[in-house]
Amino acid sequence: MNDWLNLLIGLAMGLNLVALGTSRLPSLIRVAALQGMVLGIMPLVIEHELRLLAVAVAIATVAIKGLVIPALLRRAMRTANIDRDLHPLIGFLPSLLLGAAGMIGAVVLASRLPLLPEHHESLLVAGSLASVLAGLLLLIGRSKAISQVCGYLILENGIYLFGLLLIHSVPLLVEGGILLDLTVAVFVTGIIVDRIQRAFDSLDTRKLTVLRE
Amino acid sequence: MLLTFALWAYVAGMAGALVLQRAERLANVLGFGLAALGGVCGVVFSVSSLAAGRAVTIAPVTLWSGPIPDVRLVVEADALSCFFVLIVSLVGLAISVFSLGYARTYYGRKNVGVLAAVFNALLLVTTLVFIAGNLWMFLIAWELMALLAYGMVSFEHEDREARQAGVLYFIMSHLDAACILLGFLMLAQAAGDFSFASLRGIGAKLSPQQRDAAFMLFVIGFGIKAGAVPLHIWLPVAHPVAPSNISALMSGVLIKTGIYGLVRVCFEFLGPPPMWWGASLLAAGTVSAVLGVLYALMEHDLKRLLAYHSIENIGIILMGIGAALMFLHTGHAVLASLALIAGLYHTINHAVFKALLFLGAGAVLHATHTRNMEEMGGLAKRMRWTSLFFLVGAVAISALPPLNGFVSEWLTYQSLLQGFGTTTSLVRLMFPLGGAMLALTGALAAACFVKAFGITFLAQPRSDHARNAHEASLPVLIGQGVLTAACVFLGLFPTAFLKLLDPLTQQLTGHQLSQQLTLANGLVLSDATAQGGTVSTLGITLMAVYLLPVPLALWAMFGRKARTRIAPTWDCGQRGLTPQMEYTATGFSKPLRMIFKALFRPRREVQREYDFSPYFATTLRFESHMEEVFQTRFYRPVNLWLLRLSRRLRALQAGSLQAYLIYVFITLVALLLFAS
Repeated sequence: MNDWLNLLIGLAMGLNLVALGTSRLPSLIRVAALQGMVLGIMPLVIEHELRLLAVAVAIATVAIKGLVIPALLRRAMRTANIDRDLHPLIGFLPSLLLGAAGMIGAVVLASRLPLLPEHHESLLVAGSLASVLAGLLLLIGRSKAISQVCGYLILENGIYLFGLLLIHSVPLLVEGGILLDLTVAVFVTGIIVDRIQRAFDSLDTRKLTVLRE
Repeated sequence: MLLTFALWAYVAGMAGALVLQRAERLANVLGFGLAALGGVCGVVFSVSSLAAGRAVTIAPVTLWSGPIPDVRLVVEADALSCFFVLIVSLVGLAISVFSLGYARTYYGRKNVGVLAAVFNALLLVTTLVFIAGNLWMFLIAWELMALLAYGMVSFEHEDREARQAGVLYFIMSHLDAACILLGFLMLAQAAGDFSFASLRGIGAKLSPQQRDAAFMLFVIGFGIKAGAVPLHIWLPVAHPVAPSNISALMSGVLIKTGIYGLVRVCFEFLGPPPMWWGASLLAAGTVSAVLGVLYALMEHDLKRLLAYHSIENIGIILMGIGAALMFLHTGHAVLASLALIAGLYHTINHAVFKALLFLGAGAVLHATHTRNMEEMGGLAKRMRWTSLFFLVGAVAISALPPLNGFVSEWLTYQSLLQGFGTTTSLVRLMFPLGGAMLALTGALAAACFVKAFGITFLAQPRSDHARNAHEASLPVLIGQGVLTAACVFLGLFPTAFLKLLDPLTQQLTGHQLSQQLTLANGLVLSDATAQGGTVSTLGITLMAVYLLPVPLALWAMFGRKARTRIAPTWDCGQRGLTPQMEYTATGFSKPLRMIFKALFRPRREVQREYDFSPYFATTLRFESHMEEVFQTRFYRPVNLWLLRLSRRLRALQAGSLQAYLIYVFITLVALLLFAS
């Protein structure tokens, strides 16, 4: 059971690095979607018996994170008609190195946190921290609005991983609520991306500085 | 339960006035009528429970408990709460009646429903501040009070002055709330609980440095609210621009919440005080009293003058409380009770006569449409009742016997004079010094009110505004009449009133003094020591009444034969006296301005244009200014420094999303490192 879970978390952590290293927008979206699907399967692995609710949430997660959100993002990308290059603020190699350093730091940190005995074996906390750090790195290091959404998605995946720690005490319904929020957020961002493109002729968020007081 | 009823009356008044804000007459009657009803209930409640001598009137009641543990709104009432509820209810009652008439002046101009609703809300939250039983309740009510008062200061927001005053008040309120919050959090951390019950005597658990820090925070926080020098700058700006009934409430009651907080914290929470606490309060009180009255003397805006007098009186109250803390340190519990009684007695006295004077100023303001005293004059003939009430208030605030100001200041003197013998350290010099300064304050206050009353009400009208003035409406007069009656009662029957303070001193210092303070047939006030002074205000009054036949008899014997001759006032051979020849407010205060030149830094500018000789000027232009020392020497430099600092910090606000995210990231990593 734990092995399967750790395998999935390891996969997700690997995907973090892929996301940091990729230079093309469509592949970034694909990575984020893949990570979302990996995370979606996890409740099924954790739960001892398959309850209807857990299955429903898993399916919804996979569907929304893996299909709906990427579709929305691709649509936004198409309608805004932007070029597929990522224009990094932090280069790909430094990003990768920072991401790897963050991952090591997360594992070290997780081993030093006062956790419950049953969580010592699993990579949940480490994976969660690593994903949050990777998401933040993406948010800082990429300037396009859509890549920021992807960074945000990965960050949220980290939070989701942390939430899995509490899966037995917090109903998955909460997770369902977060999922809904996320979808709406991406939906709204998709619209905003279009507007930014029209107003600034670019999706570079650095140009938004002219809006400051 | 009378108090519950009073609170519901305020709530109903608030809701009713808001609902009926389209029908302004109805909103006025309903809003202020219910406020008056609540005031009556509050007075009856507090007087009856104080007279019964109960230490705890309402045991802690949980009004609301939130989903988060420890977040609860609790009310409780002990003797100290009841005393302050008495102040807010009594003054609130009188002001409500006054407002029934006064609010008519806003018909068609401003939203009377909102005025009445906010007035009710202010009474409600102020009462809640006094009966709060835990920190949540206290701080929420405290903040609401500041917010509502801010709304009322900028009620006439068309006026630039009112808007600026509102902003200043808002900033200072936040500063004081921040200090109080920090102080209370220090206490609550030591207690592990937010209820007042568990905070009692919690100072013992803190280290001396922590206690001193907490004391300083509370002094700054409550000092701002009370308007003690040098934290007073908002008071003379904010009080005058509010509608007069709100000014009366602010000056009479709201600044007393600072006194309430100080007493509550210093006597109950912080534990045995070191000497310097009391000494610093006494010093602050002395400075406030003297500076307050000196600045008041220089004012010719009637309401600003009264606002400066609030600073003076807060100073006198603080002198009593500071002296009480010093006596607690030296172990003289009886003297501590005496000084505390003096301070608290002055608290209610000031509430009553300052509200009365502000109401009088409101009536005058309405009649003449100006706050400038130089444009008034001759109102005594046009507004007989108002001028009589104002005169009573002026006599009371000048601490002249037999009215109430005299009683409490006499008690303050007695405690200060006794203080010299309580300790051998050099600190004892503060007592006679404070007493001397109090005497100076009293004399200057009398001079100031000679000016205020004389220039406003006597002689000939100085402008058309004053010439066309008319007496105020009946409710306006009744409101002032209630407070006048309270002034007279508190002045003539202090021995009766002092009994109400017994449960209070029992609670705070463990002594009941009213027996020792009362001599002979219960009408003579003593200072609780064997060889101390005694005085009877009632005796003084009766003496005056008894002696009244003497001049009558003298007149009957000798004066009747003298011829009565009616002639114009002697006018040095000029023809006819005009208002221009009258003494002006500025002229009246000139000698004092010259004496205290170093403080006021007066500056005047005279421009004279002439053709042949400077003695025959064609035009004259005269301007005089005084430097506002605290603003220019302290607040403005601090303000400039803050602005410079924030301009530097603005570099952080690059406007770039990525930069902000880096801040978040750095914070997160720092927190993680800190946590591990």
